[in-house]
Amino acid sequence: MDLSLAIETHDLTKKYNDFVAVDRLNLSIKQGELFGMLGPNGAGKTTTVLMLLGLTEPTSGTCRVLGYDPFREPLKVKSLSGYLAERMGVYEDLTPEQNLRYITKLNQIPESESRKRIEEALDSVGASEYADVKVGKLSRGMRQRVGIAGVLVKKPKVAFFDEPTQGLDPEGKKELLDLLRRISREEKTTVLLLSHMLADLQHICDRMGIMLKGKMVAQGTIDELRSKRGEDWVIDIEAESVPSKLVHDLSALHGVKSVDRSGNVVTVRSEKDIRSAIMEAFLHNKVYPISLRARERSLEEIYMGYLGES
Amino acid sequence: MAGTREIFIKELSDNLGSKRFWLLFFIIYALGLFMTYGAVQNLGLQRTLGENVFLQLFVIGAQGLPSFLWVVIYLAPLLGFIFTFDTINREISSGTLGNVLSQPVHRDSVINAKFFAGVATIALTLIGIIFMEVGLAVRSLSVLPTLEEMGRILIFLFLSIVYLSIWVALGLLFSVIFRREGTSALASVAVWLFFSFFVYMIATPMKSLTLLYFSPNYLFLEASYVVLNPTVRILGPVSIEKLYGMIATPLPLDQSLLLVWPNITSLIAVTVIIFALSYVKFMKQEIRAI
Repeated sequence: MDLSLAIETHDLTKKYNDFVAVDRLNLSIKQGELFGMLGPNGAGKTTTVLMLLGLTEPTSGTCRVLGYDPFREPLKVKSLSGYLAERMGVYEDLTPEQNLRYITKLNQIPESESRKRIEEALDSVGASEYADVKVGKLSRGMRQRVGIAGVLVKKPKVAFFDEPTQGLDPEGKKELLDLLRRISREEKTTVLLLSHMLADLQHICDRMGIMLKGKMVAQGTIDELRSKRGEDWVIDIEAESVPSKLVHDLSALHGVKSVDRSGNVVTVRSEKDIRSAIMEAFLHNKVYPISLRARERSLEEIYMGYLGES
Repeated sequence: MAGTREIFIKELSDNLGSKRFWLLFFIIYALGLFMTYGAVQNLGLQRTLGENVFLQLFVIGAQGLPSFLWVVIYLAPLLGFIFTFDTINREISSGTLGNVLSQPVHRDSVINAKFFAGVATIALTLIGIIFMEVGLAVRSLSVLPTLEEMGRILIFLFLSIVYLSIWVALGLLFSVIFRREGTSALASVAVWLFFSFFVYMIATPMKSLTLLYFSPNYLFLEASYVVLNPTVRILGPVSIEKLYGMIATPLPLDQSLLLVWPNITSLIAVTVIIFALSYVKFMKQEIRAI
């Protein structure tokens, strides 16, 4: 067992009758890391978190949070970690301040400490001016902030956020993601962020995992994810004319997967960087390229590629 | 138990602060005080030896009006399940249960705390009204209850709390079983109607006392009646042999208790069974749905 790991799972599996929600998941997240888990609805992301919190019993496999087994020592794990569920779960008939106070009481945080923490938490999410307004009267974005403050008030070592950006406007979304980033940087909190939106994750996460049908199909830094899939290079070349012999020559180059021609533009897909070989082929055919541009495959395309496979 | 105390305090303050509580509270208090006042005024009760005035206050009520016992039997069950019928399913649908369970609390702390908060609410209400009634009677009759009367009133109080705990547990059970708050409210009302009224409609034509013994209402009615009426010496079908040689004097408290001991244990057993059912169901519920 590696102590520098905040979250570690080994062949973690959860079955609901015949349905496999999480399938032999192996995951290791270092302390202080901001890990994004990407996947469509029903991919098993929430189930994974529920198992990590000891709220659901795994069918097989093991998991550790900060070295503790969530199913053996649920109270230990739950007092060290914070969880913002998809539906937030704040009491609408209480004010944000009362909501947070209930959480500090449940965590047995002494009164003197609790007042300070509540103030800080509401302040850092920018909800302190609404501290005494009933949550039911707040906007969705503000409720979301109160929910996050509920996680912060525990000063958790590990924080789980399940689709925290859902239903927020673009501005609110950006602020929230910046906030999560700040928490992870400043408090050195390990953050596991679940989302089905790539855009939420790609700018703030240290590492990412893509989950599909209960399986983690890829994980790593964003650059790693990009390079992991073959067919990495897409090169567009524009020329004055494109004779068919040239297309034939291009197809014959080593590593080329496909060559498409539309008008005067040729698109070459290849496993690696073959730009110089392409230039040679052009010159050999006495065709002068006007422009040559390597298109980077966006993460979106990679994600869609995985989605398409499933 | 980690968290039980905190959840209990929150639930109790939620209960006592809710509109539904105050609504029923005022109905029960108004009826209770009105009946005591009426009983004292209209019946011209006087303290003579062995009259047990203070006990009669609860059983006879004012002229043409039902007694306080009637209020507890038929109306107070509403107070029992009105807090609990939506206590779990509302927290599931708003997502707050998931939040509470992700804090360092045991899962059963939640259901235990909710049950005991419900029991505490009805206990506070009953203690309040019963002692107010006794106080009112002391003022108007200018006599004090005897030790035996106080003992019987305290036992009646205990019986009422146990009886209403059945309804607290029943509401809790329905809130665990049914996803929708409306369904569990209707189910609670249906059970309440059945045992309050329909069971008598079925049992009376059938002349079946056994059937009545399945109703917590009847068990409580019988037990309270005996506790509040020292002159009741015998329960159930009466034969000539039993009556032969019986002395028509009031029973001492311990003998009255002995007479209704089966009722008391049954009432407690029913509460425990219903609560145990909801406990098990809640503990086994897949958290995914929560």
